[in-house]
Amino acid sequence: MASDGFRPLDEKSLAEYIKATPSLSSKLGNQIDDFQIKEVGDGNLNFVYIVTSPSGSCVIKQALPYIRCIGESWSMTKERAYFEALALKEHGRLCPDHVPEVYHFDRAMSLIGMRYLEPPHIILRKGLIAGIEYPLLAEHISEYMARTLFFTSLLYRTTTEHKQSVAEFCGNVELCRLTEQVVFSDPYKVSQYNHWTSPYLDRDAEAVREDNTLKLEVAELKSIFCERAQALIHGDLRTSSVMVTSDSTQVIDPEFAFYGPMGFDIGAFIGNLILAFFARDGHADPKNDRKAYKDWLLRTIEETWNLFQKKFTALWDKHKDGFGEAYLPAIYNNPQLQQLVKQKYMSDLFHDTLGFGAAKMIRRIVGVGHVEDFESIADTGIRADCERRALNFAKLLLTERRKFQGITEAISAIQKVHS
Amino acid sequence: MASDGFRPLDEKSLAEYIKATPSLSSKLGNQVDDFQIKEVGDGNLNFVYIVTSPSGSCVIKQALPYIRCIGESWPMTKERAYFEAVTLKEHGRLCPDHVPEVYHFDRAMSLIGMRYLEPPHIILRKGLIAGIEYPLLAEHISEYMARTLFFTSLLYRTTTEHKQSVAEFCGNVELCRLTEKVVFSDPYKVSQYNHWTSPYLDRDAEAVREDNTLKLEVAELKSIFCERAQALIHGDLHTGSVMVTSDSTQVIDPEFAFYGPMGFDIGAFIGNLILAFFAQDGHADPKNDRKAYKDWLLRTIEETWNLFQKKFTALWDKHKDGFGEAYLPTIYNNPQLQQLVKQKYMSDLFHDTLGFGAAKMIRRIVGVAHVEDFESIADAGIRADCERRALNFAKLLLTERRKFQGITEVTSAIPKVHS
Repeated sequence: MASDGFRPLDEKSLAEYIKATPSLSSKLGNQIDDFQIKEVGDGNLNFVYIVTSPSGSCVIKQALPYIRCIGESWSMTKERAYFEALALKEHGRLCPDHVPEVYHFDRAMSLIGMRYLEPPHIILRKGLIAGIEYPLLAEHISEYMARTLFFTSLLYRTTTEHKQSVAEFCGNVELCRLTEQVVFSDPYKVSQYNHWTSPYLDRDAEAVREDNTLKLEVAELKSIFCERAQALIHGDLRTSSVMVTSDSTQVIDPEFAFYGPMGFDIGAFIGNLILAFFARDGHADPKNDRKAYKDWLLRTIEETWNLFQKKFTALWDKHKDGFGEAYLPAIYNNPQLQQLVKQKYMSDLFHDTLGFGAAKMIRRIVGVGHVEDFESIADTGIRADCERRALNFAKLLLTERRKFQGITEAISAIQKVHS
Repeated sequence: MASDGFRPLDEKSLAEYIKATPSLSSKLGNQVDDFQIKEVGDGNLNFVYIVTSPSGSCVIKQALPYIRCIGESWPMTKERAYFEAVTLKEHGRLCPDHVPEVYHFDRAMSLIGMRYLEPPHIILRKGLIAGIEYPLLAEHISEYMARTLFFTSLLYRTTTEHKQSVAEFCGNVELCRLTEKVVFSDPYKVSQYNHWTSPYLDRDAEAVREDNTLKLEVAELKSIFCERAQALIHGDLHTGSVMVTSDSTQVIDPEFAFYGPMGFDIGAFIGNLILAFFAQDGHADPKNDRKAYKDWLLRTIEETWNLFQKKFTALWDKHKDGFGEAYLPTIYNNPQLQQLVKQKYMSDLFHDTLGFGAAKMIRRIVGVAHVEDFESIADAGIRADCERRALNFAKLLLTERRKFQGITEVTSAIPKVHS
């Protein structure tokens, strides 16, 4: 064991660890000799074990001091587990319906024990690729975002509490730097890890690297990302950070969490739905009517924003005479002004959302980490076509976002690019 | 002595303290029995002692756990001395010509020993009231602001360094809250401590409390102040925080320092110069109509901004291939783009400056703490006239600032304001 109390586990040593940890063994019904451990194998950053027994289950996540899918050559502080556990607990407190419960956290071991999201839970991204509709997705994800973002912002809190939390999460700088690199930097220059569907998108990738207008916009978004401590955001709210069934939506993997701009979370989710939309033509077969699913995706994008706005402003209304210090009730003391204030806030947040969503889309097409939505399209020509349409829409969104008054306009624009 | 090692000093106990502290007694030439101590008596927040001996001098500043000019009924953490000392040292490192040297810092005693700015140094505000021109003021203050703001921003630093500093200064939250209250809140509501030249400005004060447009703008500025960690700002850069001779400009009292918006510092200084302008008619007498001085003030405002912009962008150019992470050189890799980027950055900073300057002006007229520029105008009617013009200009600036393309438009608008 290292002097800091850390040792990487495997299936065998994990079994011993669980037996020695009551908060975990109790979740397995204390049947200490009758449980199975399986490492899931597809984690980008961490090792993830599913532990099942006849009377219970849990998931164990351990961070090693490097990025798993790259190897020891890309070091990444294992303290990320601390910030993930903190965010899981805080977001879980604010929105228990949509965050798996944390059973155990061992800081020295960078190890989290939490609820196993049992089958039929699957990663949302896979469900979208398979063309499955999730009727409660917009309702659930908007609930998660509205609650986690509102309650950790100055709309609800005092600056004293807020600054203390901001200071703590400044410690998660390494994960922030990863985002700064892969979202706001790499796609806009020649980078070792960039790739794209070649040769089809060679010129498109080059065009991104040479687009002054895009770079100007991205600089502004990067500045907001690096400097604006607006709320405790998940930090990587893509469709593979969500696990779903037809009536359950669970948000996982908040290891990138820190106090940043709200629009980064909402934009990540909506941006990923838009990618799923553009990937659709590469997945359906001629016998299947793709149109119905594409319509569902567009409606879901629309409902996600509209429900988020509705729930967020409802929370704001409900707590407007509370301790939040952004809009003191003694100043913002009449309905007309409160309405003006909300309109401006939500409008600015909407434009942030579109900007961050667009940036996240661009990086998934010409950057280092791609998305299965496109990668699973076998025919490279068809894949490139889908990706190009998505890229062109993302560029439009990034540069023209302030002209969109509402989500319906954004949806119409998607449809235009698509046809 | 309290268990935390703190005890408030007076002239007598300070003498003993100095004798026991080599870094201080050495500044007095070690003449341990031949120095004089005088408490200056006009500090708002702290006790300030001038210590002089035949062969040296220093200033001792001690923070008590309350606001001095109010009393024990308004507690304020004495840790503010720590943040002041850290900032004096950092800003002093970056701009030694315009920051008094720190000789000694005792954290437990909340005590700073620093260079005594000997006569003829006076507080700039007093010089402006007296109608004294300072030919090097714009040059010096723009140098101070350009260097302190540039070198503590992401234009120069990595996000790793930046976030660590941001986290540290989150600890100065109590001083930030004071600003949040007196600048961004109190003037816009009925507050116990608000006052104004009554009855002349009764309706003007009421109009501010009922102006929805002002409140909307102020909310946005407050949000930036509370959330945007752009650079290590002085935090209270008014003309009472600067000491001057005809060829020396020294910035003092950075106890409000934290990582906030750059425009707050520049706006504070320029806003106070604008207040000084509007107060001139109240200082005119038959021998001196202050017309020439008003022109000098307008030119100084222009030069301050123009020289700041010039020096700031020159530093940016000089270090553009350095370690700063806001604009990676491999992305912002052509002169046309670099020019676009600078233009946008400086334009946004200019508009922030105008907004924060306006807010600082408004609070000095209808809020808790006024400025000697106006308070020293004996005739209440004349004072109110000057204040009303300043207030009307500030309101214009706050609501219309984005329409001003450059500083000359601002200085042209100033003399046109009527009461």
